[in-house]
This record gives sequence, C-alpha cells and structure tokens, in this order.
Amino acid sequence: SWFGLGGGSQQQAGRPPSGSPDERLLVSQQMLEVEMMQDLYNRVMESCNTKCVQPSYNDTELTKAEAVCIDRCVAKYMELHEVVGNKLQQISQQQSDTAAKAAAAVQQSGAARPTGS
Amino acid sequence: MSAQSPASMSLMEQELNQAQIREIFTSFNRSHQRCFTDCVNKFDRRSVSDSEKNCVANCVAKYMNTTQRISMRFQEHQAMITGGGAVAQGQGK
Repeated sequence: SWFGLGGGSQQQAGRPPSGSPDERLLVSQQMLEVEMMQDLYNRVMESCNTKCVQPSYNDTELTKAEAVCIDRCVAKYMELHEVVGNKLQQISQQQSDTAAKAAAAVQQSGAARPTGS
Repeated sequence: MSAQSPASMSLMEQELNQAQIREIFTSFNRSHQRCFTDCVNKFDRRSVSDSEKNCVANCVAKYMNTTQRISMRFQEHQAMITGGGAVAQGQGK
C-alpha cells in the first residue's frame, strides 16, 4: 500500500493476538485502506461514466464506442493512480526534507546564540 | 503518523490519527480524480501518453499547493472565530 498500512506480508508473520489493542489498530488501519479502495472505485465509476457515456438516452445498451471508451478509461485511470501516488510521495518527501533542514538550521542558530532574554 | 504502540496512545489520539489518515487518503483520491478529469480527454488508446502524465504530475503539485493555502487561510479564520481576535487578524495578508 502507499502508506505502508497493514501490509499483506506483515499479517501472515507475527499476527497480534485476537482482540488486542495491536490487532484492533491493525484492523482499523486495514479498514482505512478498504475505505480508500471503495472511494477509488466510486470515483472511477463517476469519471468514466461522465467521460464516455453521452447523456442522450435513446437506447439502453452501450454502443461499441462507449464500451471501448470505458475499457480504456478504467485502464488509464488505474495507471494514473500510480503516477499520482509517486508524485505525492515525492512532494511530501521534499517537504519533510525542507522541514528537517529548517529544523536543523533553527537548532544550530539557537545553539550558537547566547540565551538571554 | 505516530509510531507509539496502541496501549500508550489514548483513544482520542488513535481516533485523531485515523481521521488524519482518512483525510490523506481522501485527498489523494480527490486529486487523482480532479487531475484525471482535467488532463485526460482522449480515449484512442489504453495507455497514458507522456503529455497526460506531465499534466497529471503538475496538476497534483498544484492541487497540493492549493489545498495547503486554503487550509492555512481556513485555520486563520477558525482562530479568529474562536476568539483569537486581534492576534490572529494580524496574520492574514
């Protein structure tokens, strides 16, 4: 998963005892991922419906063009899921690097300056 | 995210942690959808083109900047409302 929550391999190995706080935390973390996937599902649904299906309802069946569009739309959406994830990781990495540098700089300047206020 | 064991985290801390993670996930999905909508308009093939990838990457970065700015202003307003008063007002630009 993107955020290292409840990783599959972790589950099989040292599984926490049933009902323990550790297990409850693991379960709630995993539920968050489930929620996220459900949300993702709903958004793909909405997006590809909007992009591919024209709002003129003379017929109930999908045209071949609509069907092909939907297939490609879902494929593209899921491919971009990874692109977005990588970009977000990159951005948050940059931000935490900047924050870490700023914190280090503050500490250094604080140490150098004599205290006396 | 806190690395404390659940036993040492209060229930409130755990719930707040959850809410924060949920918010991050939702934001991720929202930016994905927004950028997909704005950047991908042709379905002549299955794979994503380089220009689409660029567009999405830029869009995501812009989205992050936007949400951060909005979040900042929102917090300033919250502070004003909840009685930060004159102190908080000086922060706005």
